[in-house]
Amino acid sequence: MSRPIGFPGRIWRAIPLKLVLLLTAAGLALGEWYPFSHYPMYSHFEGRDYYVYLAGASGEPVPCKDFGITAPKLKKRFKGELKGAGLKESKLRAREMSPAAIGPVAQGVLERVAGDRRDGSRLAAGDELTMMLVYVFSEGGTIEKRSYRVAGTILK
Amino acid sequence: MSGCIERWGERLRPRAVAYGRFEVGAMRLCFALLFYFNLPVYSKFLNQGDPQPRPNGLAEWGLDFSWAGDPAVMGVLKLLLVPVLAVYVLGYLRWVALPYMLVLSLAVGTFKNSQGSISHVYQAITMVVLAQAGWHLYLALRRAAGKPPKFRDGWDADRVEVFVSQSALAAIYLTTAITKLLRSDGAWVFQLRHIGVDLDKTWSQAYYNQLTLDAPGWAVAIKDYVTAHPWAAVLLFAPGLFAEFFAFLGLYGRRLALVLGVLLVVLHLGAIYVMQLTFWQNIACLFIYFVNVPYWLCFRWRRGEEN
Repeated sequence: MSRPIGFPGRIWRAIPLKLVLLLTAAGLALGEWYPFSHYPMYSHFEGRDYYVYLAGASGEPVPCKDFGITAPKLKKRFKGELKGAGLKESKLRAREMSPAAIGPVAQGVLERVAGDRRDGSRLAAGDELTMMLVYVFSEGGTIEKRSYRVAGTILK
Repeated sequence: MSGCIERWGERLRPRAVAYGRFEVGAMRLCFALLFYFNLPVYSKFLNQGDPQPRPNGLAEWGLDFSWAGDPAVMGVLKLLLVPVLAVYVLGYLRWVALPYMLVLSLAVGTFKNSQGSISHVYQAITMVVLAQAGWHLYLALRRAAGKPPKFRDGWDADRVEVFVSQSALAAIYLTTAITKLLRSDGAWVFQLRHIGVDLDKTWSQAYYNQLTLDAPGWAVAIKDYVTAHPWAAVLLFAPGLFAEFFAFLGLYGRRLALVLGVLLVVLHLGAIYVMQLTFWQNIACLFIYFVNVPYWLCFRWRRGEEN
């Protein structure tokens, strides 16, 4: 003889698409916890953002691929280190944090990247590798940019 | 009260789709190929002091996945993967094959995401494997306990396998849509007029990868147009949010799966070329479990039926 199902059990059985709901709840609750994610890309637009790129001593851009990384990955790594250092990325994006304040974090990321220089790189040992931070923002209907040098290291 | 809820639950419950044996076999074959040829070995991360500098996922609990970056170890595991995938495609011992696939998939993805930057490239594949492994382990445990599940209304183990795979994919898109609504305080569509800044950032980053920009002319034209005409961005990108939010409707039959699958593929193609967000694995998963090309090209006409 089968046991009668209680009220909570009947409610649970009545819910359709349980797996969709459970996996969605897990993604939202856990955030970036592989394999779950809350997919924050393009989730809000503030009209201001920033990116970082690699450059030589005088600020001329150097291909990120010369160091086995892409510019988005460089930013993600930088963002991860900011979080690790207890700094809020939102403040950086809002230009409420001076480029100097993020210098030590940027320096750490750059030194790790500098160690991954590939053969055939445009920069050689002894050259300076720098990291540039660019603010992008909308002002008066046009897109404006401001660039700052945030870290530098001599390649070995 | 509960009777009313049960009645509504019954009305909203997706009905079984009559996937044939060969049709599910074709899905498994495509998924196995996708799995095998997209299993990367991130050996470059082993050339640093700490192989998992920013632990993510199970690595946060102290598990070491650096073996997933070792070409020798992964060479052997990928060799073993061939018979495992063959068994999986044929529909045998899936309670053994799928956990093996899940361990590999989790290890590779966790190791990659423990490098200080998050990647979603391999994530859809892992989610599908997780759902399928969960289903077949549950089945195996029930059978071992002498209580095999009783299927009703046209469901069987294979059809549930497809259904849980679709559920995992639908959950990805529903999560994406909800995150957009939560992080924008419900104003995502309205905020789209600022997307020009984000597109400029994304395209600049793409340029700084190799100091070249390889993009089709139409993508450049769209990017320039929405940057210059912010409200055009609302018209162009807002439908994407609805496609993501309602992706779960694809679980309600073949036709809806086809429609939602095609919409989401178009959304991804737009994201790849205009937003420089590459998700080829998601597209492949959508083709396998939503668009279901073999059915519409072959099985439908052979079987003369549509469910």
